[in-house]
Amino acid sequence: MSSTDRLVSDYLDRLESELSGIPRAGRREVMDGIEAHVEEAVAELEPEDEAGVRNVLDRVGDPAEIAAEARERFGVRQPRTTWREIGALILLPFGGFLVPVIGWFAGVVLLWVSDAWNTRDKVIGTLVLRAGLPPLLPALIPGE
Amino acid sequence: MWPPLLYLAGAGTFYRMVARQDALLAQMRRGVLQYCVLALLSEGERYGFDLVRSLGDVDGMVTSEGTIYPLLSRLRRDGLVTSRWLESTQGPPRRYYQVTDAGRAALDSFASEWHRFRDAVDYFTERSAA
Repeated sequence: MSSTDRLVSDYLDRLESELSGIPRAGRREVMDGIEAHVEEAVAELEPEDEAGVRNVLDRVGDPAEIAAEARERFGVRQPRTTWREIGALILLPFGGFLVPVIGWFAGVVLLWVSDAWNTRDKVIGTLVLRAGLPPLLPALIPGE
Repeated sequence: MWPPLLYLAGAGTFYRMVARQDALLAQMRRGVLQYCVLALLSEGERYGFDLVRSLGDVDGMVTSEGTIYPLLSRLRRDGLVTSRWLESTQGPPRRYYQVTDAGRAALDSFASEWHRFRDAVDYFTERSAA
């Protein structure tokens, strides 16, 4: 990956994480639009050097500012912790101990309906936070 | 009061006023931007980059280009614009936005109010300048 590609992909990653509180459809549309915009603006550069790319990204704007605008346009409050996030954080690691499997699964559901995390974080949360699950698996195996 | 202190207090008040005015202007620009987008789109469909460039060509309308995209998404959700994907001769397909009948109606009603408002503000500000 060239240094200019790296600048663009870092920028888009930052934008995606700033937009994590926005409803999925809107977030996708904003991301796709800005990604295509940056691509086209960079393609126009002559020559396509680092200073030019930085200039393009400056004109597109600070990801935090774009996310603030998106929150206002979509009527979304600054991402804040609600019962969903608290529930997910308690149930994912410990839910399996409270109610075998179902407790953990409820945590997964809460994790995925929350707007506080992006998809990558949710996948990681689902795969990694299974602490309550493995010890209970033997109990599910018939005949034990 | 000691004169330098008086001066500093005056300067402080002035800068606070300027900051308030900047915030007010930013809010006003934000509020009318959607109608400028609808007006541009009522001339014909455009895709994001093209639309942003046309808005940016007029001084004082857009401060950061990226903020147009949340607006477009919101307008689409509200049914004031629709979009379709069209193949492009260079690069991937582009999402073209068109104004809907509801969007046109919103623009028309805003435009007549805006002209009244603009004339009223001009009337008072120009009278004081004369």
